[in-house]
Amino acid sequence: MAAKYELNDASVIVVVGSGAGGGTLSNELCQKGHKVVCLEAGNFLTLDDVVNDEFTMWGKLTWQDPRTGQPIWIVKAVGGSTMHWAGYSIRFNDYEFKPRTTYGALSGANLLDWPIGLKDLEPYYDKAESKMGVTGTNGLPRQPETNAFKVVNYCAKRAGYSFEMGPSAINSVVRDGRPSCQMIGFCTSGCKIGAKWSTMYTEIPRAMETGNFELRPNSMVLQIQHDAKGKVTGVLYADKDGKHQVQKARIVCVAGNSIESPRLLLNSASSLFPDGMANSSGQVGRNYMRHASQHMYATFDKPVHAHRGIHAPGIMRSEARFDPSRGFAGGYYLQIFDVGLPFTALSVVPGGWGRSVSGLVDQYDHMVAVWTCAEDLPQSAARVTLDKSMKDQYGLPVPNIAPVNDHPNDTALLKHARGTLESIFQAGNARDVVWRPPFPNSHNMGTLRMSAKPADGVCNGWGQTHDVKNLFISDGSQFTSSAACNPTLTIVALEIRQADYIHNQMSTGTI
Amino acid sequence: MITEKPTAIPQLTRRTFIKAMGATGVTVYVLWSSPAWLGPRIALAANLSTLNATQAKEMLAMARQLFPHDKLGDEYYWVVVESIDKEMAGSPELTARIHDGLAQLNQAAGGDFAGASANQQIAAMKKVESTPFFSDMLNKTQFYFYNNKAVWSKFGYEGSAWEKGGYINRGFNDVTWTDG
Repeated sequence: MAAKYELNDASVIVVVGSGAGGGTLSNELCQKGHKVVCLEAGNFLTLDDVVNDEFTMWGKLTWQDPRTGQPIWIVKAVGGSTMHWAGYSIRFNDYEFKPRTTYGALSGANLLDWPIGLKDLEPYYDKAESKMGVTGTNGLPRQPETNAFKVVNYCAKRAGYSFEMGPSAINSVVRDGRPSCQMIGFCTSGCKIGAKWSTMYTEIPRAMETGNFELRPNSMVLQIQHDAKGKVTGVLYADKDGKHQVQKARIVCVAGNSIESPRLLLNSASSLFPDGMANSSGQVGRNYMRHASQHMYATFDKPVHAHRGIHAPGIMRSEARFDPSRGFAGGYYLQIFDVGLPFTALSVVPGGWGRSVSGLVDQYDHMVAVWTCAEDLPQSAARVTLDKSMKDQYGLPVPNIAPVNDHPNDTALLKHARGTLESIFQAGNARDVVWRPPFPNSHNMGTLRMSAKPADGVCNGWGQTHDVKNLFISDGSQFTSSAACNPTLTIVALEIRQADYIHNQMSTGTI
Repeated sequence: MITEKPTAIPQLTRRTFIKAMGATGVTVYVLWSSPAWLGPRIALAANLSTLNATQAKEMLAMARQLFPHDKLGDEYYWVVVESIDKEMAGSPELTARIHDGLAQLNQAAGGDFAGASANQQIAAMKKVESTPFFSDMLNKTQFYFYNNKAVWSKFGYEGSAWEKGGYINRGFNDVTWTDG
């Protein structure tokens, strides 16, 4: 049963956002008996609202509030980006927690080692994989091979490479009260049957069952408030009717994705925190990372029908390693990623027209697409700031995401990945092979990074801000580096771990 | 490049299309069944609010050159014209931009864009490629053309699948040429 807390109940923990970070943290805290109010800016959809139509769901899920700078993509709905994500669930490699030590000082990159390592996170990766039902872990079978997988792996094997199905947080068997995947082919538009893990229908209802949880959708947090000593006391938010409310809190955890989270801290500037809350380092909003990425399309003489089944069936791991002999630091995954005709046409088009574009779309059912997901290096200029020239519907300055060029390391890496894929597709006798720039980034990381020293980042190894002890960063904003893998599994692992920490700190009265 | 020859029987295509287009189907039927395109000016004018018949014809020719699919008839590109016209009806700025842009396009084609050869049309479009009019046309055509459910099956895309039980029993792994 859902709880109902008073606005002046200062004993609650406020979680801002309900996605991979906020949804997971809320549930973990509620399971331990803590009182949680989750404020989510978006709607609370149900599976009845999910339809198999790419543009319709884009309209229902997308964060469409104004922003300036480079285009990015995030979700505004209960469940956050877990409604949209494709399900790939890969752990960081150990060296990816230590990019500064491993790669050395790379010019133009603001590299820093994480204050934690793989050993710290391993037990939590175990828990996250179990929670999410990641295929190929915990004895869960991989999905059966799809058309797109068969074609790509056929090519790869002829070139001496190999892809694997998954690992993916999409049920391969009936599990956790949810059905197994029916190969519907609309994963990134919201899974109609809930086979793909999303906090909307896992963590959120679990939290509600505890009786400790209150979810307030359509509630946009505008400002984090504090007392004279700089301790957080609550949040100001606009409720579903646009009315301003103040929810008191013992602890505030920010999980609004790597754009909205730093924006909230910057918009919470006060006489005590003139540059924004928890920003004594000046690092709030900096080191924005996506993944270095690109799409490559290949067409074949024989049909593929890649739209039938999981959007993201499988990956190639062998280039996700540290090997500077390739001419760059960091690694990359090749990830099969096919979407429907409307989005494929959108992606093969960018800026182009005429027969070079339409000739590819004509081959839609003879086509596969593979996405490169590669480590992106943090750059100081890659940054979220407030654009004071424009205000949103709440009267707050909108976020600006500085347009930043790929770091030369990214460029070299992407070129290598194209070479690898070209050799793979040539070995499989592909007809046309083209590459395209990526969709607007939906892997957003950094901007409130973890650091051992307060001068280098915003939060410590638990996501607790260096400056304010009862303020936590609870999403991908914490990432000190992007690694090459998709971020969701790591966000979930970090939040299970953070919940343990908050519980211990509260139990000992430290917070 | 094109792997599947157009196989649709005209009557069958027309029926499917009218069904997909709902209320506007009759107009489209008249248009499309006219072999020369030029015939149904009355039908055109009756159905559009911001474009005259000549402008509509120019926009249709441009949409076809933006994303040319020889296997698809003009009726699929007409959807683009009708949709943009509808958008224009709500925006005087867009209407002005499109009207001016089409005039510019005509000029670039030597006076008659719609009547020019394919190569002349492409050359004229390249001349206006950097204008806001052209990006509007590019983006809107891309959206209205490829997001029309009636064209999906022409490219082998099957649309909504959950109500049919997904593809778990309907071919998610039916590729066999990779075996062995």
